[in-house]
Amino acid sequence: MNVAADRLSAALWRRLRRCYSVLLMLAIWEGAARGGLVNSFLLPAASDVLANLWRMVTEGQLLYHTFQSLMRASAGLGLALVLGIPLGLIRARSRLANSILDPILAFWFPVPKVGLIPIALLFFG
Amino acid sequence: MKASAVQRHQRGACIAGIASLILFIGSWQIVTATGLVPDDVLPRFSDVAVTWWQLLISGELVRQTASSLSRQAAGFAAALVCGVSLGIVMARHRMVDDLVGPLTTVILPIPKAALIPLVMLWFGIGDAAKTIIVFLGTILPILVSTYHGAASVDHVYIWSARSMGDDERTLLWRVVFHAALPEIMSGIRMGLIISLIVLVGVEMLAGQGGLGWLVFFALDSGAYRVTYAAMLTIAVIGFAYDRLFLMLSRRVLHWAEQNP
Repeated sequence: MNVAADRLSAALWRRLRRCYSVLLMLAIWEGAARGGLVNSFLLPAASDVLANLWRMVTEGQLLYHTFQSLMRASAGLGLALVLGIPLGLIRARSRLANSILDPILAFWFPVPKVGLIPIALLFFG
Repeated sequence: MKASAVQRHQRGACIAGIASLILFIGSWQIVTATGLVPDDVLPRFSDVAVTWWQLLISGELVRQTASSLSRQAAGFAAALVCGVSLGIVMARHRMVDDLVGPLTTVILPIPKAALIPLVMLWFGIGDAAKTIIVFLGTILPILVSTYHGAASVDHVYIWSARSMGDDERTLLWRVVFHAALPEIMSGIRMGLIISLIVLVGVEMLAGQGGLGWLVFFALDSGAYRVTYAAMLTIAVIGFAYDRLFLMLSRRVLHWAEQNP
């Protein structure tokens, strides 16, 4: 009765349990696409998609676009942190600031920010 | 009768809100009327207000709003039902969690803007595609909150209910659902807000009517006043939904220790 081996296989089981459904989905995807169940125009085979992904990575275009997106996202996040954290702290410490900021934020929070894209385009080109 | 502290606070918040609104509108009007910001970039608030009124009485605004809200309502309702039930089942049954959990962790967090082309490829540009995208976007916060709420139910509650003879179904309703309700309501609130955001986004990209489509159509046509009028409508709807939901939430959860 090897306790260490038991513990090891229990850990392996747990790992397997966590990821089997994703692997199953990939298998079904591949099977459905190759087996002709789904139109191959609408859903290319998983292996094809992955091969294409690898090609795009090694050719460099994917990294370039990913970098662009990450830069913009980080810049936005950075700006939001710089403004948001101090404002949050001020709100917590000052009753007056809270009552001023609260209605503004309450109105701002549910606004779909995608709706602001036109304004941003108009203002910043 | 002297108002209680809570009532005074609420009245103060209301006044502060109205004051901020007046300040916002006032500064908008001043900045544009004095020519600080050119008229083609930011129309005057008075012009936007007039255009908004014209849109309203011509019926256009009502038509587009009804279009948008019906899609949002369908997607949100479906996400609510599926999200809450799936979340509770996942929290209570490990096998379901193992099967569905990893898939939701991989697929659902994908920004819906990225899924739009794929969904449109499969389902076209009609209402079905938009409702599906709203559904996918909304279900994530609801599912996550429900799962977390249901999984964090104090075991003592469950044990005592079981010891009093509750079977699994009664247990689910009386104990798990109610104990998790504060967190579920908080997740639903996020879902509501996200449903509007995703809706407007997909309407902007896919067209075919709705407030989001109107914003971009007016932008392309150079009718900037219509753009701003539509955007203000979207903002007001989002704000109203949120406030109404918070009021509903307070009533439903009046017995809970903390409010969302």
